[in-house]
Amino acid sequence: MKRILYVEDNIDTANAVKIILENAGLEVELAYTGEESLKITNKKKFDLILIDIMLPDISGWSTLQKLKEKKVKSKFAFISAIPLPKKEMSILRKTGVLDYIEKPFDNNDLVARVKKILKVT
Amino acid sequence: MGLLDSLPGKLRGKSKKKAVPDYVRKQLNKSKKHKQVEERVKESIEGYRLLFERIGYVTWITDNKGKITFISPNVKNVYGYIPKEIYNGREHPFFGKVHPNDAKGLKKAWELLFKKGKEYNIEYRIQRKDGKWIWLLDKAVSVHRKDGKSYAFGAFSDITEQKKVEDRIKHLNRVLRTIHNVNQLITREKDGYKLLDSCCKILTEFGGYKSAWITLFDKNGKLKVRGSSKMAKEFSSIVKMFDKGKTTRCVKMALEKPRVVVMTSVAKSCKNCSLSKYCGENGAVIMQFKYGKKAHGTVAVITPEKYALDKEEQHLFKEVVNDISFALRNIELEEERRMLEEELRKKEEKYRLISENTSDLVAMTTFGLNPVYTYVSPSIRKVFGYEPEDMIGKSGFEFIHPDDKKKLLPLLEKYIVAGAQGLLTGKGVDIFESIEYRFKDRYGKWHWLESTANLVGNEMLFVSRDITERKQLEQTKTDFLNLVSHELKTPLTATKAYLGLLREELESRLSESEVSNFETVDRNIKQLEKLVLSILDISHMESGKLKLNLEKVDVEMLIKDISEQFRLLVVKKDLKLVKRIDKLPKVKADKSALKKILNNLLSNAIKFTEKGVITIKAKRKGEFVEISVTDTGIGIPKDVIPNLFRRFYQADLSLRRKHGGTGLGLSIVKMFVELHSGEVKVKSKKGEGSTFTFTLPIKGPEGVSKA
Repeated sequence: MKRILYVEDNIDTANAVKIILENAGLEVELAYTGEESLKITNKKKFDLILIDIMLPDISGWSTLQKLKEKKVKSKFAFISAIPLPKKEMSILRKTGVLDYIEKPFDNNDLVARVKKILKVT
Repeated sequence: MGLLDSLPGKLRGKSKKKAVPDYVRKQLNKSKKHKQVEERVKESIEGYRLLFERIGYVTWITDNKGKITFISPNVKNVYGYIPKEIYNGREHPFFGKVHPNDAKGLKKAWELLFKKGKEYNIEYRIQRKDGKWIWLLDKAVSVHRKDGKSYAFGAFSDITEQKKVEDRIKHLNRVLRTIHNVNQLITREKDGYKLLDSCCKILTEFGGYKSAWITLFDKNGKLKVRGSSKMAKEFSSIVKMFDKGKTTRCVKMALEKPRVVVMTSVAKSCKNCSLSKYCGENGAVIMQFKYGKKAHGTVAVITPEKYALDKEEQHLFKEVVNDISFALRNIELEEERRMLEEELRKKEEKYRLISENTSDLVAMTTFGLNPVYTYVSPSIRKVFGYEPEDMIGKSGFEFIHPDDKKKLLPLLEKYIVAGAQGLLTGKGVDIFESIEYRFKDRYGKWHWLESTANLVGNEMLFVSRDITERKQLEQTKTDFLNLVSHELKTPLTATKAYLGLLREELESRLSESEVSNFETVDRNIKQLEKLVLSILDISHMESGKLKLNLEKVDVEMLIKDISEQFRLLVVKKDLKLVKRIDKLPKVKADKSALKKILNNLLSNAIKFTEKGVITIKAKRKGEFVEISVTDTGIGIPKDVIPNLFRRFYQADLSLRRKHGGTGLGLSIVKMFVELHSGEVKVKSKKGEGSTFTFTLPIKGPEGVSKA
């Protein structure tokens, strides 16, 4: 079973995503801050780390940077309420971010996109 | 016997020899010598007399009372009377016939001749026996005898012909002098009205004209009297006449054609004119001023008829008028030039005041990649603390933030090419529409400036404004909107997600009314989501953060995709959706923006149409693709159309309750279209439907040359 870490400060959203993805047969763990995600990845390995951009401590961008610096082996994707221009998506891809899911999302769409990243059906 | 006593008798041949007593003879012998002298004198006088008579002079002798005691017979040729008639006339046959105007002068000369022995040399007119007037030149000397008697001895001749020639020469001379004087005046006088008055004076004083007057058209095309000299009292009524917009016959005639108009028999032919009496025996000569293609006024002189009719004189008059015309034109040109200069000066002054008093910065720089200041307005002091003189000679880039310089250089380069072309073709070029950059003040603080640049002559004119505060406000606003939309989106995300989860869980167990309730919640959440996204779009657009992701878009495919999305809705409302799409090139545009435009237009069309057809058309129009969405819906009232693209505007608030919607759709359409350098238009008739049309440049927004 693929393991996912979701870094999200809003508990309701975090829980909803956890349920949605678990319903789709995926294992989800939550981190509520950027720092917390760094700690968790010290101990555990994940197939995908989903990062919210507007985090209370360090931003999603910094979190990504730090995870990479720690050479965390995982796939990455952003999930955010901030719209991202398409051009910048191609830049993100180069840095290993595979998707950028905008909030509010459609539940089915979320599942489909996560599965696509993880290459599971 | 005295010489003068005996002479007439002798000449008449009436003298007889008498027997003389001795004492008398003695006495006579005594005076024999004297007599001999007397005889010689007699002979010589006789000789002179004959000589005078031969060359046409009439010789005469009178006593001191003016009684003619002798006049040579040739007087008949000149005067018409024979000597006998002159001696025996009851009235004085000679002085009685002298012209009344000359009589006074003649009498005075006569008195001087006898009283003071002054030589008598006078011209006067006299009426011949046949009634004709002739001019005489009369010369005489007086002789005083020992016995106290005095005689005058004189000769006259007819100088009428000579006088005529002389008179004409004199007059022509006067006219020539007039021209000369006018010419001198022209070079001296710069004031048009003064010139005209002075010209009139010259015409009467030097030109020998009785009087003169000048009319001129004023700025409103009304003919006014602008100068006169030696005019009669009655002339004031003529001036008033012109002020009332009326004119005289002579002026009217003169304005018809550029030629000399001669008025004769004025007393008869111009009876109605108040000047006709004044003109009397005289005639009038009048001519128009002409320069350029039209008459500008007239010059008129009153002069004796014979001069008025003299061709030579008319010619000279014409010269004078032409000279005055020339002068007037020069004065007018000068005046025009002066006024232009004055206007220019005022404008310059205005611009100088504006540039010095505006809080905007006005600066001129050299034209090139390194723009060096040649002028900086004093407003620089207030905002940036620099003295304008300190900046002159320095490059603008010395003050511009290095990051912005990088941004500006390519722009400058690009527009210098356009500017150079503008210089070459002589057409001015708006170089920059508007650029924003940071500018360092004297204390090292950075200010945001917004500048427009233009090519003026071979320099660049920059007008700049400090927009630091605006920038800060914009940033605050953007931050706020981002925050708000994020804060709105977060609960929305959770709500939407949980709603999805709930529905999935409960789906199979829900009653029909419960499903309907779920759908209502769903629809409202979607509405909320749309509103939040729209607000975000607009705030991005306003802060300039919204950038188009340009790619080559297949418009036909896009329209097909979107209309497919609306198919269900169209079928539900029992409408028809028709597509009429020509073969089109790919358009450089932002696909998602284009989708939003079409989405908004289509959903509006469907929303406001109860029955009929929605038509989507797309065709090429030059460098643009034109797309239109037409419906057969309720239409838009005329007075609403101007507000249609305003934010949060809906034609009828009651419609909002019925149809929902945010009131942002069309304003977003307009913004996206304009961001593409396209145009959006609407045509509508209430009750019949609406057509929204927008254009997109095929080569993308950059391909559109700025007007």
